[in-house]
Amino acid sequence: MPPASPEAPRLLSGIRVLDLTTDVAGAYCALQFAKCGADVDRIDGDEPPSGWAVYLDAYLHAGKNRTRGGRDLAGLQAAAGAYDAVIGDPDLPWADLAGHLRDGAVTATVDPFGETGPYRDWRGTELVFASAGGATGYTRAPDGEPVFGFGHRYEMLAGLYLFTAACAALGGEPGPGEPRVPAIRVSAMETVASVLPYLTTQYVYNGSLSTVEQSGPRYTGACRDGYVVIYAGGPWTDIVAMFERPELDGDARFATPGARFRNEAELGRMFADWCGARTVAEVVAAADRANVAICPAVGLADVLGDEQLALRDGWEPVEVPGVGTGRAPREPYVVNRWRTAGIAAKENA
Amino acid sequence: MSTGPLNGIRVLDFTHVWSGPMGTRTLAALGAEVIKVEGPKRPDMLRGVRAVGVLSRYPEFTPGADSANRNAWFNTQNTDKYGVTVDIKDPRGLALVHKIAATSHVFIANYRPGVLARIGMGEDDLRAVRPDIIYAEMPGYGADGPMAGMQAYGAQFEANSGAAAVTGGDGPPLLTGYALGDAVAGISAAAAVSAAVASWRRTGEGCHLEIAQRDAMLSMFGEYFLAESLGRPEPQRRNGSPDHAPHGVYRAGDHWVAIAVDDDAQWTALADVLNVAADPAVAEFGTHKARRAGLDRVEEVTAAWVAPYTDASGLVARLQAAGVPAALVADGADLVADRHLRAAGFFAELDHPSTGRHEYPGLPFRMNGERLGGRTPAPRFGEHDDDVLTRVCGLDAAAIAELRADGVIAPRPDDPRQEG
Repeated sequence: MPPASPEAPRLLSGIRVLDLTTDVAGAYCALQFAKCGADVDRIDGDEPPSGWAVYLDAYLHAGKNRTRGGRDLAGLQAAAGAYDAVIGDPDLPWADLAGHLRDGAVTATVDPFGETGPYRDWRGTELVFASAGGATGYTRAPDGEPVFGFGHRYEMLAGLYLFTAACAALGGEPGPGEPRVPAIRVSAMETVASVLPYLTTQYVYNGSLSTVEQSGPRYTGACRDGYVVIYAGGPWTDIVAMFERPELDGDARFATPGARFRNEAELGRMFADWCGARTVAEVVAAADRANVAICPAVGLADVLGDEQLALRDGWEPVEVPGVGTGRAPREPYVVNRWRTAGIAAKENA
Repeated sequence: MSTGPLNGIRVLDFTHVWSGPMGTRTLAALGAEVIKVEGPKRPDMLRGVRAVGVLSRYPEFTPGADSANRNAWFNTQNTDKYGVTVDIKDPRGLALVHKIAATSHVFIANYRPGVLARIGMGEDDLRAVRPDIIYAEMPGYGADGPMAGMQAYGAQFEANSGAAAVTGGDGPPLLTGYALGDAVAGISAAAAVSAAVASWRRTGEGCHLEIAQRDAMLSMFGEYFLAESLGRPEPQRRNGSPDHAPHGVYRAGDHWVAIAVDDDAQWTALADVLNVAADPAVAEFGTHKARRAGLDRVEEVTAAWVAPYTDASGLVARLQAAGVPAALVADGADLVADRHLRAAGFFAELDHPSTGRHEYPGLPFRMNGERLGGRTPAPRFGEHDDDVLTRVCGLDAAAIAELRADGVIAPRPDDPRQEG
């Protein structure tokens, strides 16, 4: 892994953030500040993590200045004036804190469901948010069971939304009548509903609850030695070339994406048969030749060994107390090409 | 309604399909003036011109003569934006978008590496007219390296990020039904741009941003890579969790109910609500340790306990009232009718000239108690050509008419020549 440049541009250097969160979403928001070079002071809760949660805790708080205790209101009020952003849970005494923040600072909170409304006091988890927000129902296992996914991805997305809005408010001019310290809030349930591509619009347009029609059919194909993922939304002529079955050229069952959706199961069987007779490498090579979007479905260990990510310096060391130093993804954005310049140099050599 | 924290920031938007437009939809909701550019003969694919056979995208299943303006997907992902059409292969068209760039704080696109420079929209081209521009690119895997030229769709990001493998648990890889990777990439791009705007406000300096869409997906489950890299992979179980038991979705009538029990009190409350407190399994699995050890059996009994209930929504309400994290596994109709989303004003009722008055989903932002975004419907194809070319580029009506006659911009949306 090439070393990170010591001159890495830091978009938010000089910004000071106070992280008082106890939830994943808020902590992820603060993590984004830290990854952009902000100075993030975190006050941990009283309970240290245990079990598998130690990995989540280490990932969420990498690069932050961590202390424990000191959450009394008077202490927070005394400290608040030093910060550009304060991120915390919905039940923090925000009204008592806001008066102690400097002009132009922001406060940022993720509500599980929202500030108001019938579910305001409901308890949320990743599974609950994903289900209430419509994502779980969108994803089905082969046996028809809805699948929420895994981990805390929607909670982290809520945190990413919060970071986006908090940065937007930093240094902005308040509108007429708006407070000098903007209060940003994001709902975790609404976060999930917001990332569905068109589900509710389609329903209000015509009453359809179909969830299968994307821009093209997608399949998981079982090869002799592993799995691939197939996106069949490209030109049909390319897919015909990949199958090496010219008799299918112009076949009305598959010529357009709409027709492919209507005959999705039949096309799926064709892909299954074709993949089943080949290795992953053979399938990917044939797809590349024909310009069809097929790629291996890899595991986490494969991703950790991924050449592209290594060249992009895509991992950073993160210490897990009591376990060791592992690797976690860097921020997914590169500023002024600082950690990708080496790739071009290598390719030009 | 608040103008939003990005009020005064102009974004020249060369994104298309889903991931990029999701990002600029986010910026627009936050108050930025987003000017979306399409080619007069190359509308955004989400307008459905290529997939017009997918009738479920259209009002009353009818694409109609105006199909490019009636697609549910496009009309969801492009609210609050301006839309212009410019043929940048024509030197006059390229000059126009450079003129827009000169007044823009941000340029953003999601083309494959190398395309923008070839069409005259490279970073050097735009920095020549706007030295402090924030220039954001969204390649699938990065501008360089062995994967740079690979096709990049949301499904691919799920597959080659490891997400599909983990989602499938101990079974085959499983894709999210709607390609979460696209949305993640779009919001990640908006986040990077927003941070760059904050930097620009303080320093006056723009920058180059590269948001690799596959990399964005990795950040959503960094803890899994951290554990894997230390040789402590999390055992996978479909719909499972390392912290909860039971944890899954359970059939209740014609719906599914999601339940996630975190501690012993919630387990007892679950049993009480389901009227199974006398079942020996309640005591047998009364501790978190016992439930984790007997997870298969815990899931089995929970499914059996839930099965007799046919009022899924009512059951969820009772579970939540008892302190048990639970939710209806909602479909599109459930979301539209959801009393909480409606009370929160999540849906914005917007008049769209080509589809009529409908509700569109919002984004999850509130600032000072006010919802952000949901101001205007998605632009019809070329809807703001006259406005933007006059207001931003300083053209008069005669010049615009000449461009239109020469095909540099599209016919007006109501012109019969502009059909599906």
